[in-house]
Amino acid sequence: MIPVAIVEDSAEERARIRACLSYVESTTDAAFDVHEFPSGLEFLGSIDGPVPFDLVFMDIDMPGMNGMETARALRTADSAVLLIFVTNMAQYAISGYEVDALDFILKPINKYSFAIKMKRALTRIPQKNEDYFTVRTDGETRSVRISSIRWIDVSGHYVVYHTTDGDITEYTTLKEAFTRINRSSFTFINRSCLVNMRYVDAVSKETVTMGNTKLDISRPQKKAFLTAMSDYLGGKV
Amino acid sequence: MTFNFAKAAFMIEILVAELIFLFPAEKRPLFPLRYAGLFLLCIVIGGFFPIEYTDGLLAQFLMFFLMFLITVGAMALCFSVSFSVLISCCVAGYAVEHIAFHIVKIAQHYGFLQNASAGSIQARTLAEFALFPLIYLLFFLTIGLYTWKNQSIKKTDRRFHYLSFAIVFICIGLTRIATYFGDDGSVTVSLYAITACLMALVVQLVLSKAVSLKKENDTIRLLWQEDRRQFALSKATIDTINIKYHDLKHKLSNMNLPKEEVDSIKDAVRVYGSRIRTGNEALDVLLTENSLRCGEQGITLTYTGNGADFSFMNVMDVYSLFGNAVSNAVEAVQKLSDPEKKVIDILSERRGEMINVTVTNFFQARCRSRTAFPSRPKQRSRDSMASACGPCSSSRKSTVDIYR
Repeated sequence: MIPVAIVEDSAEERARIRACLSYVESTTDAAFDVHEFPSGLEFLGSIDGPVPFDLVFMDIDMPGMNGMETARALRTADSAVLLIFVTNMAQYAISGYEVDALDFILKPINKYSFAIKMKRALTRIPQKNEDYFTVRTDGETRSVRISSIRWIDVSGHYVVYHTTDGDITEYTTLKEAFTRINRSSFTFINRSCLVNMRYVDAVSKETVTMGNTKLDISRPQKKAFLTAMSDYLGGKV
Repeated sequence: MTFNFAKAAFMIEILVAELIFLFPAEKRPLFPLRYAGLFLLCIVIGGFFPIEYTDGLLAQFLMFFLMFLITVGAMALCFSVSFSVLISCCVAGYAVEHIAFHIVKIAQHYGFLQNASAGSIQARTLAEFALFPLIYLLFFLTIGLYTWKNQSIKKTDRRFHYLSFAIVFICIGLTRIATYFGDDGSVTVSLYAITACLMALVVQLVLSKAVSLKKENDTIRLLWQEDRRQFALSKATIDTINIKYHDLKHKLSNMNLPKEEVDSIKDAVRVYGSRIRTGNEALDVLLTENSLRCGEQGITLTYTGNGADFSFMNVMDVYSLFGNAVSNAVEAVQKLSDPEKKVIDILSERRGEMINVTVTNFFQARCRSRTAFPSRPKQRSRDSMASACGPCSSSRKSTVDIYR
């Protein structure tokens, strides 16, 4: 279940968002654990420690603390939670961008428009019940969370998995590793490097930036990589 | 009637040469079987063809032409291509065969294939078979691959096909005349034949491509000029509407009307005062203009992103790029029967030097495109979601290519 917060002063609009989420549940594999908040203050008050939501729908025009102020406060607590603004004014699009909002939904909310936006949002939400795969390293077998892999490259006859929890080395081929992982969010940037597009911070003409590391994109692989990246950002992957 | 090995060999040479240009094309079901069967049939027809090399000049020319037409028919049964592409590929194949034939003759003339040239027609044909594969391979790796990579044949103006067809068949006719009058071993005739056939290939595959590119560029330039005019007009219109909106709001505030009524009127006209500000002037004008247009047609248009990301682009390029994409999306959603599905979602996201723009809308049709830019909203699968579609995909691609 994906924990979702709806911060909206209108009960009618909250019900509408909930109905749209149900529509998304009926058309995809996603399941949501929905929490409603009638004001920004109540929403912020519910957060004690790490933000317990993966996705927040935030109304902009709320009495008291408005949505933009609430979003700024939210960002000080958590920079990763996905934020989608709900507004009746299209002009807020750019302001939303300032607080790293993933998207915004125009009122009156339309379930089809909502579904388009959710399709993309769902690709960005870290999966809690996701798959693991086993890696044989130093005579032992380890279980590795696929989404924790940032990139994989080759060192001699070994493959190195660069994960968020450190590097893991395995005696195998990159092709074999790619087959075992079997995720469309992974793509080759050259013959000996496979990146998880989720962790790509920047793309330049010749390199991909993953945190503090720059990896080279090979000329033959560039077109395929850019297409894969474009599909990922557009929510097609 | 006896089997003539030379005529059968000619059929083989032509059938293989045509493959140089046709091989990457879409093949009909059971292609290997079809090709093998028709190949054998053509050899038999060629070997027993009822016109002989010893017959008159006109009869000889007719024989070569008819044998060529038989190979065209065979290829039509093997490949699923349009008639003009089929004829172009076959004429190009015939030109390559003719070039190879004369290269062999020159080689024989200078003694590289002494045994063959000194022997019978069968021996000469064997000599041709020894050299032909090399020449064909060379043509496949150069012109053949270039043609299919650049889609040269598909994009060719038909007039270039006719011209190439005429050059090849006039050349073949003239060399037959030379042979008929006993000038069989002349290097000059062979050099003329090679030059003429190469010229036919260049005209058909290279020059025609250049002409088609120029035509495409002229169309894009016209579209840009139209966009520029439209941009100036839209900007002026939006400015005027905005001024009128603020005047109206001011006058409303000074009128002696109940507050609720004033608020209600203000709400009703608010849409005319709402200028979208994304951080990019061209995008602001485009989105504001299209929001008004879409609002009237019950279409919801949303944009998420930072227009400032496009500051490295020329204002007109931004206007053209997004204008084209939005126009096509509007055209697609206008045809939807479900009013709730009339939504267009534009998203731009930056990752370093890469900016990804996604335009998503519903559509009712089938979509087919082999490029990154879907080409026709009218040809898509029913009622599914699409991203960035439109008939002017080449215009958008050209704009994007400038900044690669």
